[in-house]
Amino acid sequence: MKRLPVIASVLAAAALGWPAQAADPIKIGVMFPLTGPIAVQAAPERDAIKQAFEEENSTVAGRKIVLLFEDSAGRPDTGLTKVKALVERDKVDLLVAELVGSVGAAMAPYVTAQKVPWVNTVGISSLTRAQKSPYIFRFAPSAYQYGLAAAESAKKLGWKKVYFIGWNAPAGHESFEAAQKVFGADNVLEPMFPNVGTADFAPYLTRIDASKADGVLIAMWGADAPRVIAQFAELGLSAKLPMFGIASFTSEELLGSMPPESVGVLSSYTYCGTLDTPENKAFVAGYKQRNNGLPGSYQYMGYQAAKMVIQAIKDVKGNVEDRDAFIAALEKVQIKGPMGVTKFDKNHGIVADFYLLKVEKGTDGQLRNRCGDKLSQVEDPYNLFP
Amino acid sequence: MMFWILQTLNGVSFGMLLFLLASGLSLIYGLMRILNLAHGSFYLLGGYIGLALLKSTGSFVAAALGASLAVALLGVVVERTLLRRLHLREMPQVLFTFGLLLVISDFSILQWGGAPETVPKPELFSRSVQLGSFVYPSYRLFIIGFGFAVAAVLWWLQERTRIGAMVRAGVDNEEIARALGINVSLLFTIVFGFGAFLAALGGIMGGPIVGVYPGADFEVLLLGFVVVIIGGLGSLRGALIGGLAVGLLDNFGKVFFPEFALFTIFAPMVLILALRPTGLFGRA
Repeated sequence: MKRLPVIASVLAAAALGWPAQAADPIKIGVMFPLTGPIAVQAAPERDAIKQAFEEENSTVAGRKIVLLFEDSAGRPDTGLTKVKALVERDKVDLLVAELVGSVGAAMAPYVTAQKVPWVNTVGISSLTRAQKSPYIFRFAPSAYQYGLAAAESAKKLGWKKVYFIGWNAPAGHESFEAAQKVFGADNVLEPMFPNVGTADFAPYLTRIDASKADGVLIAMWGADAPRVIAQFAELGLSAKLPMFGIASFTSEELLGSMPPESVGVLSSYTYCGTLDTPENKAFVAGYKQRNNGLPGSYQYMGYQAAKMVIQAIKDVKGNVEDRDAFIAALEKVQIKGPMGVTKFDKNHGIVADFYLLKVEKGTDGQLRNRCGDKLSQVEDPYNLFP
Repeated sequence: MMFWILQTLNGVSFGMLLFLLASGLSLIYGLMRILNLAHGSFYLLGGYIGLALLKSTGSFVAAALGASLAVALLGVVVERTLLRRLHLREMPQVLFTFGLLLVISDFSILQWGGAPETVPKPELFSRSVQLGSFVYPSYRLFIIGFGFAVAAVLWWLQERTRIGAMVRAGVDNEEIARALGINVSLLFTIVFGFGAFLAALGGIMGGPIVGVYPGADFEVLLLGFVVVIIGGLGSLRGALIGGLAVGLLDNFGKVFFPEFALFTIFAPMVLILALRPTGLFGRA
């Protein structure tokens, strides 16, 4: 009986000293533009991230995962304010957030200063160059990266001379530089840089002489993509010159509202909706249960980024509080997903396979991308574009 | 030679869309002294409602008329119930119409989603025609003709009808017009609704060229203001000449100075403001 108090106090001491981690949930801040024009791609990406965690029953390495959602509205000032709330008020352990370049650029210094691991799908080059930090992991290709992939895929088709038309914005100019590297500056004809949101491309498109080139590279996205395709066709150019879109030009979530002239348009990016792998089939099925429509490149990248995070949490056995260890684990993650193996490079940029895509009309009458040749494990080209 | 003709056709067809938008804006300001920032919203709603009607009825004419009438009705309701409380109070009017612009912008995304939509051309003008060595969409040629037709109708209404005379009187001097027994109040409502009708028509007619997407309201509103500044507020002729001028400047600017595409529109606007602030055909 004398031992009872000793046993009791030992048990009490053990209970008090028991590591808090096992009981506390891991809090992840998930911020995207949920309102505004980008919401059409960002809200489904947030849902794909939710899907990734729900597939693990929201528990990883014995700890519950709690996702805290915020809306940046696509604006840098709003985004930064919401991130500060997530970090300082909600004390999140890490962030899986954003796809808009300006918001990402605004967040980067704050996240680095606060030492919060941040996995994003913001495809701007600076996040692995001027703004790079141990805490930032960019799970979307930079414009140099996807520009190079598109140009190389086009060259593999036998193209020698190309026209180039791209946004008058960093993504457009960087894609252009990549194209010049691949084809040689003399073989990229008449580069044109309309402003984002140009209503009428006719003044640009009427300069194209189809007899002088093998195709046209296009670095424009969102609302401008269907418009340039339609205007290209109505000026009689689609019959004479193939279009090659760079990156998410014909991304699945927008195919539903693309004009019928999109059939035959080529592109090159990290996601192909019709790729026949068990992982992709499962991903698409899970996505369709939760959303209207099919997942496109950004939804896939958000999903796969979340899976990378989940793997890293498992690798540190749930101990995300040790941020240096968690970051080291993220750097080493290599997992197979719907589009094959993905990992991070030395500057924390995405390394993934790129697929050649061609728009076709499916048996159900809907437009979809057909998967072509694969470029394996494409990296951000630091050697060509430091 | 063909190249010049092509570019001119481009500029004029785009200019016609601008005219449809600017005519309503100019008319509303001329008579009511209201700077209707929600005009962009009427354009956007015209596009979205028109597209929905087109999908359900298959008739482009039904879609264009239906959408324009629907938006005109919205304009009438807004003017009667809300805008007229702010009569002669410029700042609150501008703020109100701006608020309306934002609300309708968000509502459109809620209702129709954020994906950019393409509007199929009407069957009659869906093909491209051969012009010398160039291929050119027949729809754009139609828009040029349509624009001139609308301009002719508007001119006839303004110059040759009683209601047109009443509107001109109201534009010249509202107080005296009232004193002469003209029901200026009713005129305001009619003109506001008609302006909305024209903007919505621009939205659905422009759909096959420009598409319908979130943000179109702001983009088109900006261009609309450039047109009325250059052409002169309150003048129909100004809206037409201004629209054509901006369309041509925009087009040739992009052809010759692609890096300065915006400059070629705004520089003339700045010049007009400096040298002739009321615009080419505007009234003081």
